Amino acid sequence: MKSNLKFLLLLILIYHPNSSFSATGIPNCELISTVTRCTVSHSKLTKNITRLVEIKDRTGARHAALYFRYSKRQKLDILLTQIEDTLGHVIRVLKRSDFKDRNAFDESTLFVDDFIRSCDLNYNIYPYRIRYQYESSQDEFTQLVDWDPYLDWDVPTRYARLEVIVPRDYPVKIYCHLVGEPVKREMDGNVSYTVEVTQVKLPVQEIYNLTSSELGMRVWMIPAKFDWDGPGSSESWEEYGKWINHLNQGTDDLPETEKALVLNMVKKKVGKLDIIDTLYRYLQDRTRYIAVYVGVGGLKPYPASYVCTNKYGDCKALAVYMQALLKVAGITSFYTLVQAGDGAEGIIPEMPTNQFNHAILTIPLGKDTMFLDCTRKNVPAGYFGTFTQGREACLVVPGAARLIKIPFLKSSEVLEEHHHTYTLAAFAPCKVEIENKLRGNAFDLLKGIQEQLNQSESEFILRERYFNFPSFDLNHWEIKQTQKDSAFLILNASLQLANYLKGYGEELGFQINPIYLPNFENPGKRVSPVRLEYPVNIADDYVYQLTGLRKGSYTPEDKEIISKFGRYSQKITFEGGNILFHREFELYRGEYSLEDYAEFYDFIKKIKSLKISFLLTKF
Amino acid sequence: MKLLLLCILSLNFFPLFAQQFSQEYGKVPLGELTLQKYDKDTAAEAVILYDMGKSYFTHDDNGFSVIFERKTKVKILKSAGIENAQVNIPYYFEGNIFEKVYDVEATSYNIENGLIKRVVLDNKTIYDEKKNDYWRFKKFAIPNVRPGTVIEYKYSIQSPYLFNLRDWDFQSKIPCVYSEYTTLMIPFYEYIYIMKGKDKFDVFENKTDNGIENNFGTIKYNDVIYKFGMKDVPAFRDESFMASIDDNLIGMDFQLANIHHPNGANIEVMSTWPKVCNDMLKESSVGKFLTQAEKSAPEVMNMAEINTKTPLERMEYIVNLVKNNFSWNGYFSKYASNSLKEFLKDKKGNSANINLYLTGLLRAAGLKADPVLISTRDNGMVYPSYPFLSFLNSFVVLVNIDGKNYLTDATEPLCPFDMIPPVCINSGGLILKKDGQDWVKLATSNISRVDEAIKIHFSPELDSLNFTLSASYSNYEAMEIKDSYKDDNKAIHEYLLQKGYANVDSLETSNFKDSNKNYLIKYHAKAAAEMMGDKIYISPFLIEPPATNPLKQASRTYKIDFNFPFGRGFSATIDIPSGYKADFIPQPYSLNNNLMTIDYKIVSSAEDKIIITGYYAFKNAVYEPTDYKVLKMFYNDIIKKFNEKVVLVKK
Repeated sequence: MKSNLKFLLLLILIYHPNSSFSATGIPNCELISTVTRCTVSHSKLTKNITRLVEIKDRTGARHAALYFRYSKRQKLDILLTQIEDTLGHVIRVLKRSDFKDRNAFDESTLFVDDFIRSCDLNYNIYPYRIRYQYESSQDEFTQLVDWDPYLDWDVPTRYARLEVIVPRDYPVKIYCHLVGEPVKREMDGNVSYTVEVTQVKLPVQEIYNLTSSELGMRVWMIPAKFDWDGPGSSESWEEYGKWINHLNQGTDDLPETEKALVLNMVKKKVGKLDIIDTLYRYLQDRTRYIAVYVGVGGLKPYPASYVCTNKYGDCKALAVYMQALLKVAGITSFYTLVQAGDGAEGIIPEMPTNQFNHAILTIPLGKDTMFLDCTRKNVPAGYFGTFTQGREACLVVPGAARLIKIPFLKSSEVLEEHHHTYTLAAFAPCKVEIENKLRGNAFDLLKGIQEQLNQSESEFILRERYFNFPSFDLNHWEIKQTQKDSAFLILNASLQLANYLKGYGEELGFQINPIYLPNFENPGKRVSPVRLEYPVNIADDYVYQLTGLRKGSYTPEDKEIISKFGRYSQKITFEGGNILFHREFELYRGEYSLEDYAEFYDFIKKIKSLKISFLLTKF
Repeated sequence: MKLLLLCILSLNFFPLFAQQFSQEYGKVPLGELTLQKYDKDTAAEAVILYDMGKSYFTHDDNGFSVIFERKTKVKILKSAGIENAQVNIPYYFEGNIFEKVYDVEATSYNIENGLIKRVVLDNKTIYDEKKNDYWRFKKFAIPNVRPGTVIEYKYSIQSPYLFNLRDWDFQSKIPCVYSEYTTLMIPFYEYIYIMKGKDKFDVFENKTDNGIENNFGTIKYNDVIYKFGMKDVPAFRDESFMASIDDNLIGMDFQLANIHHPNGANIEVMSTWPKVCNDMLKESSVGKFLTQAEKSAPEVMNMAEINTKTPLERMEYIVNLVKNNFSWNGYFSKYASNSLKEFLKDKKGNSANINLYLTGLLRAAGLKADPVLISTRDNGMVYPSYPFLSFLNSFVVLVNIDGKNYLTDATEPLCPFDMIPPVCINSGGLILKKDGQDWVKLATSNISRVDEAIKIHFSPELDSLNFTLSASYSNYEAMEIKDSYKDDNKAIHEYLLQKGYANVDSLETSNFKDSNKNYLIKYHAKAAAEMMGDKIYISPFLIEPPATNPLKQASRTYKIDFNFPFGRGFSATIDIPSGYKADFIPQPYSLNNNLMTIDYKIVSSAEDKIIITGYYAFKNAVYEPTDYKVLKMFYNDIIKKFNEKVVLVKK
């Protein structure tokens, strides 16, 4: 898995909040009932899902467009799709020709052989109901069902039911969250597990929230034993690891020429680190991330020989290729699965199954451990960034596996230093020279820009994120990496500003943007704790060189705000006709309970509400 | 056989090519591999060294088909350019008649250990992706690609579709050293082409192929070769304020104009607009649908009641009737996809269903109404000089009441009854009637406005501004905001908080469903007062005026298309707190020309109250590139003036 920056940024910039509640606060869509029935019989898993949804007005109609994703390993039957009035009279039944099939398309994937079947159950007289039932079946599977009672987090659910029927001699593992254990019944040689909920309380999405699986109801069932490209077990992580080992078996098939090349590359290298650096650099320089999911369902890596030939692969293929390179050089590394990216759900340790979307390598280095993300370009060996920091991961060792923890990023590793030099004049255009030294999340963003975006796309994002001025001409910009594998980047830019100095009566004034912080919910409204997955650390140094201007009737005061959540300070000095502004801000990583929230909110509010305005007098 | 040249061309002949880059497939000189950057565009992430296409005809027992061959060579200069090594070849696939992609080859070239390393694409890694019911892609990623690599690929497509000879774009997102399209024409099919984005080619040749003579039945003929080339084509990067990127890219569209059968019969494909209209009216999904719709009117309308209304009331009533009872399925089309019976049952259809039905009902109510064939903005420009139906892709409706024309449409419920959705505003529309050839202007000169009345008074502690804001949105501005927030108070509330206001309450909206009235949003909120020393600084229009200039580039070579004229008005009433007086009030400012207007006025400045109004408008929907710098300057003036501050000081 690799996020597509172009897609994500576009999504962020075009997003408008849309909820399923109308102006009166009445929901515009309601899930009247949803019934899921899963059956395991003769090693075949069949899922039958029936839903009845009421669309109350035009704004709720987005829920009437249905999309069913299925893979080549699954058989999908749409059994019923119809529009009804609220009394249950059928208005329209969809025909076969009303469905469209197309390949699924993922932004970060070259090709996936999954399909999407879609149809539209829009009608023009509100309210109306849509009823649909579909069934999927498959012979090979590692999970039974991962169920929640929601259609969407803003659509109320009136009734939801899950029933799972398995043979009596078919052990399962069950994970339930915010919902009671399923009722277990035995009948006719089978065991059924049933969960029913009514008038479901909707989870609330808040800023710096817990993960969605922590906030919502969930029933997740997996078979203790399964057969998917060979027999496997989810009894324990150790057992699960055996199956991963089976999938990866034989993937270290480097051609002899490549082996010879590796040996030649490392023959003069001394020490493990030097060898890792050399091979990691070789991997980064010669390969690229391309994902193709055909046939095997995206869990089995393409072998090292595939990467060796094509010089591309997905995270799994690049990891096994790198593992093979290291092996030739005599270095042991372990295939490691991890949940990467924003919005990771968190690992449920009691469910040893696939909970991951990314593969990396773990290399033991004496007392230390190095994590190698083989999809990253031009980053130092061992750099993992905000994409995977602090996550639990599944370390796959020969014949077994176990959960480990990737370390958190330290405050110094996320420090963003912004150096701006302004030239301000009463009657001439204002200019600013920018030199930002960026680490952590900012480093990852800039790396993405550097690796994936062309000039105009890059400028579009830089303008939004780093050149936060009303109007300006961008004379020059450049992203520099002082060393090819440094964990920071320098963003240099030169801008001519329009309207930077504003009229404040007879004086001129300018404002320094406050530290960007999101609009947190008022303490009375917040319902869940705050979780900061990694720290924020910013240091600003701005120099204002004045021409034809001098200190005016107002200058902001120095400030220092310290709390257990972080710290803020600003200091202003005048030196040789120039204004020097220095600011530091740090927000610590951590999880803060609801009891702490009012204090946290107050800290954030104090910083957000700081108005940093300077007035200057013309002379 | 001839190729009609409807563009005025200067027929300059250039030597084919005279740069250091090779155009021979499979030949990659060392200079191309060692190239570090492209001098003519140093920011380029990749550069097309050549892109050459060729279309020619072949025939078998089933008749003629067109073969399209393409070969392309690209130098990858930066990481961001690597995406050019992922190739998508679109091809048409409908039922039993489909295009065939074959002879796909791709190779990467790198210098490795001082030697040229050549890696060929394994055909097993070419994937076939179904995009929708008609289009598929052949997709592949060229192996062994990184900055510095030269990639080269070629493929052929056999197509039974002779109506559209493959179009050609000389320009793309990366610069191109040389792009060339060659067509080998035969006497049986005659095409015209339309050149876009430029008015002349760098290379143009036409000559009769004196090679092997071709036979079709008893007819012997030689191909006539046309070659079109462009050199040093810049990257296409600025995509802001454009109706359709395709209209601005340098390229050429081909259309079949005539079919000359070997038996001497001649079928005119490009005919005249009157014939286009007559043919459309003969189509059952157009003419018949329209007639049936008119006849079916009494099923949905009380004709006696209709007749009591004035003509304009009738039009409004019927447009709303269709909008409220039928939904658009999201597809634009010039052919009704459902029969009238299906449409009335499903209450849903494409734009032709909806607007032809609307026309029928309007006619049944005794109004003079005609469908208007249009090209939506995404679909590109219409060229009235070239009578081709294929340029047009949808309908709106023209109603004439007492000699006055009204354009209307029923696909978009949020649009006022006498306006068409912004997406339909593009070039002109052809009025569909027997022998019709009249065009109607689709653009509106009505300015879509947002007007905000702001009443500001201070909190007792003078640390914040309490204000009431009443915003009124007209025409397309109303449509846009309604579409964004769907009248969802929670979403609007969230938006206002995000914008920076606090304590938002008493939020009310009006006229969401009544698209003929301005949409209103009213609320109370709080903004921080800017107190510095003993002075208070107030932005009369708060943070409502624009703060950033949307015109970001230094210059512009394309028209600036805002879609519709727009304006914003402000009126601020500031209660001066007791003990304070005005220390500074901004100067009035006014400007009015044929491009825009700015009017900033101090209406009154009493001891306890200041009233300031401001209005600006961009009067045209589309501006010439030569206006760009002036527009950009105006925008800066607006930002500066409308954000100026009133200063209050202790008495």
